[in-house]
Amino acid sequence: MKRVTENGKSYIIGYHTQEHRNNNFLKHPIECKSIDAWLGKGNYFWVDIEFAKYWGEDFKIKGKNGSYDIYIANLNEEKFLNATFNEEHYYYFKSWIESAISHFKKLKKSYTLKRIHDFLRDNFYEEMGITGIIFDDLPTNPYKKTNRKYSLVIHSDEKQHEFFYYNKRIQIVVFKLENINKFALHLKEQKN
Amino acid sequence: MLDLKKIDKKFNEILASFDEAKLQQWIDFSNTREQLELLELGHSVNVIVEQSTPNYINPQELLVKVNLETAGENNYALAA
Repeated sequence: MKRVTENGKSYIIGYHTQEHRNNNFLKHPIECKSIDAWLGKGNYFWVDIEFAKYWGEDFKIKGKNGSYDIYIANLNEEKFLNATFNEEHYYYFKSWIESAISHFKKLKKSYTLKRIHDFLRDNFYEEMGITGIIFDDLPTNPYKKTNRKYSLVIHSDEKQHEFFYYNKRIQIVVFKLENINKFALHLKEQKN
Repeated sequence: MLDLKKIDKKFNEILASFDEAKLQQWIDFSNTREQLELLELGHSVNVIVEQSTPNYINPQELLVKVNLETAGENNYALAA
């Protein structure tokens, strides 16, 4: 992950992708409230610009003439939970999710991914002093685009249509704007 | 830097504080918030309105009933 240091503090450089809206550029990121937001409500960033571009191509271009913008920001990582590269952080993160699920089950309450993450976001992370989470998943290519640089290695002779993803798709969710610095437009009106 | 052992202890304390009532209260809040967010995003939501049938009470009947109850054995006190 690329970093900068300012006044003795370390910041991770993150990229935020949004639909291009007639030269109305953002002053801060748009908080994701999607029911699919897998780390709960928050401000999402990519650490690799390629994935920010792929996200724009797949989900942020509306209509024939649509395009997307990519913003850049410095993210204050001091109190981030780093579930991607820190073993201890990862296992605690996993245990908290599983404990929350068990608690819902014990009290016979229904739950979804969103509900559990929102429950943790609303009631725990701020109290616990966690300001963001770094996590990763496998890249997707829903429209089978051939320009994707996930891997140059075909899975096997028998499975030539599958690729071996060695590239972690790392995301950061930052809960509050106060931990997002120097948010600025980086690339505008990008298309496929 | 995060002190994970301390944070984990805090996590368990917070989780233990969520009894059935408190958890249901949060779930109700979360459902309402989700409905409002969907409306903000231009989606439609199902709204269930509970309408109870009002009970009509005849005030005259209520007054007589109360007086009889409080008068006790001296019901004839009403005549005073």
